[in-house]
Amino acid sequence: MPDKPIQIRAKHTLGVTTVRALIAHPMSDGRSNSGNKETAGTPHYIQELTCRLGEETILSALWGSDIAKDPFLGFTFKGGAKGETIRLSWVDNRGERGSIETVIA
Amino acid sequence: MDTDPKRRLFLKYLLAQGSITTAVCAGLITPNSAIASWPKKAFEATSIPNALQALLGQSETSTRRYATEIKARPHLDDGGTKITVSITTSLPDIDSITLLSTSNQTPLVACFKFGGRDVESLTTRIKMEGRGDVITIIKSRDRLFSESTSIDFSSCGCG
Repeated sequence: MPDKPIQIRAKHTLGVTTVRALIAHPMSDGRSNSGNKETAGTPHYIQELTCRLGEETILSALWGSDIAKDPFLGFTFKGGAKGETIRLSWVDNRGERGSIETVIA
Repeated sequence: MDTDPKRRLFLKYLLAQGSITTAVCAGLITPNSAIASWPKKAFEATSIPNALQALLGQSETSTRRYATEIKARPHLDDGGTKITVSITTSLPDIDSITLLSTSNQTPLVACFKFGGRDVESLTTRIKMEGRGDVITIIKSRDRLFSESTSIDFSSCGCG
């Protein structure tokens, strides 16, 4: 598992902003065939993830338990500018939440 | 002996709370979804058309050649199978990108909805239950465009 709960980086080049995030989360589907006996039997996965640029929602993702453990998300979009804030937040099926902010470099 | 009614009520409340907590802990009541808007029906659908219908309200897809490229790379790790999926597209006005896997019991993996920004690429890592196809459905101007790539784990023994 990564050291930090969420790692995020946002970079702007030639009119395009790239966001890359790594989230520490078991993403367990509760089925024993996933190979991880510790978490088998109790589904625990992120269901919704939101990414905001300032106040504007630029991405809202709906996830099932088939997203891999310690999920990675990367995307590029047109616009954004150096110094603007990107905020990422998630909520899982148990109601646990996490969020992080970064400034576009 | 006199019993204080408030104290009775408080004890009853404690008991009720306790039994709910115990039931949740014992796994009798599984909190299936913490978010009301999460499309449970779509994620539980066992066929691709049903999943799309429940998620996007339409299931008819078409293909636009060369507009979308998917790259999928399997890794072998300790907890099972992990596949990096990258989607690059030149389709305009993308409303959402949906990922499905033909080898999973419930094919819907994820749906990424975008605000007004033009999106060019998306990368994530998914689980697959065996060899099969990764399908991406891009919704653009109320139409669904489908693209797929097949994953074969036998060819990645040293991955």
